[in-house]
Amino acid sequence: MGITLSETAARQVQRSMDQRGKGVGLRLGVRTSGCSGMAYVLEFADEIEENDQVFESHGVKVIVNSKSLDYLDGTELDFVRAGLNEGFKFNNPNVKDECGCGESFNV
Amino acid sequence: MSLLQISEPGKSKVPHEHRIAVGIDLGTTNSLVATVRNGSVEVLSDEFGRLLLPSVVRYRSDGNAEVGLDAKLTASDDPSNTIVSVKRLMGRSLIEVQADETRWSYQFDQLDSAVPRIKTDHRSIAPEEVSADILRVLRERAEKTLGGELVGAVVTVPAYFDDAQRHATKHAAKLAGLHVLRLLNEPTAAAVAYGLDQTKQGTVAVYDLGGGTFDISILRLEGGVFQVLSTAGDTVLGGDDFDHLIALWILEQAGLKEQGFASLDPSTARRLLIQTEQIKQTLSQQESVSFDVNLGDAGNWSGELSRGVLNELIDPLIQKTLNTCRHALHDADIRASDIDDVVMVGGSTRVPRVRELVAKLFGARVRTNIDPDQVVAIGAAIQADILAGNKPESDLLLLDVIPLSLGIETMGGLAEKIIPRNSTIPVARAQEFTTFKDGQIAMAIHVLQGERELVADCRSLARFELRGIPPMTAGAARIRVTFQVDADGVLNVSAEEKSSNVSASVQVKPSFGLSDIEIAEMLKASIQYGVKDKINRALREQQVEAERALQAIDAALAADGERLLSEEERQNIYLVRDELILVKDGDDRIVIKNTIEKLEAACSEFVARRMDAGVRQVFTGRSVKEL
Amino acid sequence: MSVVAAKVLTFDISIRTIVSGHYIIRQPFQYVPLSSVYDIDLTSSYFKLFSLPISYQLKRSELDCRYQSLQRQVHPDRYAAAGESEQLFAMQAASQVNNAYQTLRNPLQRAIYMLELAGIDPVDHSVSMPPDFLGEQIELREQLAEAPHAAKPATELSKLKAHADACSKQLYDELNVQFENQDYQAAVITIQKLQFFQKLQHEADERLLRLETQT
Repeated sequence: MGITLSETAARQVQRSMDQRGKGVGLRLGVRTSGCSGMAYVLEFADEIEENDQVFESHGVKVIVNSKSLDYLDGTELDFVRAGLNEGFKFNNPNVKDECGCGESFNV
Repeated sequence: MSLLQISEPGKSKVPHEHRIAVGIDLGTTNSLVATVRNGSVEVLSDEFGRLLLPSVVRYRSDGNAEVGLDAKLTASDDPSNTIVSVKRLMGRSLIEVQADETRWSYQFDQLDSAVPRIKTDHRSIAPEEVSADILRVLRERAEKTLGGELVGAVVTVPAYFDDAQRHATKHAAKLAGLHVLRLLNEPTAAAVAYGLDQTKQGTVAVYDLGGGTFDISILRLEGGVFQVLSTAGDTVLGGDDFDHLIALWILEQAGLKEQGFASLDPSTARRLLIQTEQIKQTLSQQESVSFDVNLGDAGNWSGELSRGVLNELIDPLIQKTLNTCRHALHDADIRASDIDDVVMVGGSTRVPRVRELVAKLFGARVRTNIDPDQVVAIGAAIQADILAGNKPESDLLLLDVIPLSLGIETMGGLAEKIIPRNSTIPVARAQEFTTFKDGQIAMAIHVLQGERELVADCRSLARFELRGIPPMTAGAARIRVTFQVDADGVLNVSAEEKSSNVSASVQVKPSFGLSDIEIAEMLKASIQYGVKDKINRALREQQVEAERALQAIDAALAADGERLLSEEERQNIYLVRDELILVKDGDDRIVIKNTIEKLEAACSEFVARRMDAGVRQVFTGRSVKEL
Repeated sequence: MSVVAAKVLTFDISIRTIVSGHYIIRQPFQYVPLSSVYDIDLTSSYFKLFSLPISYQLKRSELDCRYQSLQRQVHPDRYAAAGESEQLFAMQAASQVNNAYQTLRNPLQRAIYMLELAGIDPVDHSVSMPPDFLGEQIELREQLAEAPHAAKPATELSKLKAHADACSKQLYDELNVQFENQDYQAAVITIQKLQFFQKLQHEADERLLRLETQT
């Protein structure tokens, strides 16, 4: 299945990367933390490491550590506007419940 | 719901720990707020997409404050309750304010307080409160846009702002519920906005000509360190004076030179100035402009103004700014030709003649590609991002200087400087003084700020007394007076007699600042507003949360509702869903919260079934590949 | 009834203003090894603070470079999120670094500071200046006073300034040798001579600026 970006997300990532001026792609991941167990990681990536898997979506390289992939497989990263607020949203089919703010989750 | 932003490698934030920080340009005419998101700077707009918030506050008779464009547009109908240019009042005494050349459209109260109070129909208002109302609007704008509470703000001040004016600005921020990470000099912010910290080394002049003030700063940068070498300015010179000169020219052409500007009725005068501002702006684009103006009782006058004539009119004012530039160069101990870059700030630097003469003085190319109205807020946002700890790897370090010398009064009414102006801060200096009379057991320490030699010409910042000096012959005691200025430019003074170790100290609260009691009262008032603000934010957050829940459940029902749920189960969920739709726009956040929980409970079985189905799918897929 | 401060009248004012910058802040907190801001020893000499040998000759680029890295280490902005005592220490350390930098980068102040380190009073008034030097100074000051009334005041002032610059440069060269030979008594005289020229340069500068900004 892998990881995909929505078109708007890909455009936004590309724009941010252009402004940043360096980096090989976008790193997605999970780590334990937060109120209900797991938290998402969303970072620029400057290098690809040994256990990484790389997906390509709308021209953007998406890099995921194979451990994180177990929790993220099938995820689509979207870029949404909610009122005046805007940002990235993980649409993760593995998620059982999210905390109120959407930053941490359980599988 | 807070949406995620991309972080630098390894710098993902712990959930629920936001460090949203903003930069605020609190201007005389307009104010702005900006922030760093996804590594790029953004100037934040209101819900109508407007970036500039006019620094105008109108106090209605019911006590409500109207801030921004609405207040500006109705200013002419209600001049006595509409506060414009409040920045000029910050940290100044009533006497200074009344001596100012500005023609205030509002009245001042004669109260005991050392700060001028503006008389409005509702009550008397301190300048700090007016600024706080402007800052509060910007804070709310930022919190709404960024979806969270701010950890703090970098607020910019003119480089020439003295101790009292900086204190007043900090008070205003406090009243508005803002944590000030740092007061930053406006020109420094502008240089940061241009990313000049990225260049290896160079000397930069920041030329800032706003509506009513002029400011020049000479900065040195090397390896990410910004050092302000010198600053100079003129608090009563700006683009508004250009408009005024055009107006006077029109009156002269219309044969009304004798009567002058003062003969016009206030609303005609205001309209004329709005028009001359437009004429000035048009002449930045084209060589000449024809127009028709209404001069009240004198009827209409139509004519044409060319850029050449405009240049002649404004040249003396521009020359005045260039002279100030020469002073700043002198203080920095460099020549005009040493300047590598000139950064232009302030709307008035759009005037081509200004750019031309500034370029000529420095013999350098002038930078104009960032909007001169936004450049200060942008730089402040970059610095706020760093101070909030979002960019720990940043190399940028700003070293500011104090704009005016600090010292104490010595015998004969003379000012003795202890820290010279343009010293890099933080800074501590000590100097020894002695007694004047035989057996003198106390000494008055009168703290001064300014460049002049006579106490009467300097600004008095504070007075305190060192007591308990052992009686000695005049000139025998050794009293060490220490001045410590912190990174915000705020001063602490202490005095110590060395043989007896008696000491006294004072944190300098400017004589023209608000008293502690006044600050406490204003804080109380702002906390009342603050509670209201907090309740409003909590309600809004619940409403957003309700919308998120509704979207999620609708999407889930559309995808798997038919497949995984019976008709009855679906109906149960729809019932609670419809209930949430009904309550979500109400103003009781507890009801909304409870209904969201009810919906989540109603869906829990559905969510579990979806998860199971999803996991089965995953494993099914895998078993094919892996087994 | 108390009286405001009286100036200490033991030595010349212009000299005192220059030396007033030296102030060693006592270290108010215990050494805490975990935090880098406390690694700065505020009681050490300015040279040691900047990791430089005590020598009058000094590479400006090296000084600037050390200054920047020290400020990066101690500037209060680096401790915006730290505890109160760390912030306070950072402010004091940064103040000390600023004072040290101001002193070391100015060749005259550096010389005075080095004499102080060597235990010599840099403003020793028992030292008498050579009469011919004083005579020359009186003449130069007269020229300065007359310059604004000359036909070309800017040219006169620039000429005077250039002369003072040249004399100063020569004196700094002498100072260099004197410090190398640890001839501190000679250095005291050279420093006092330099102060005369500094005052002259400063006043010529002020008058030039006034001329420039009058037009």
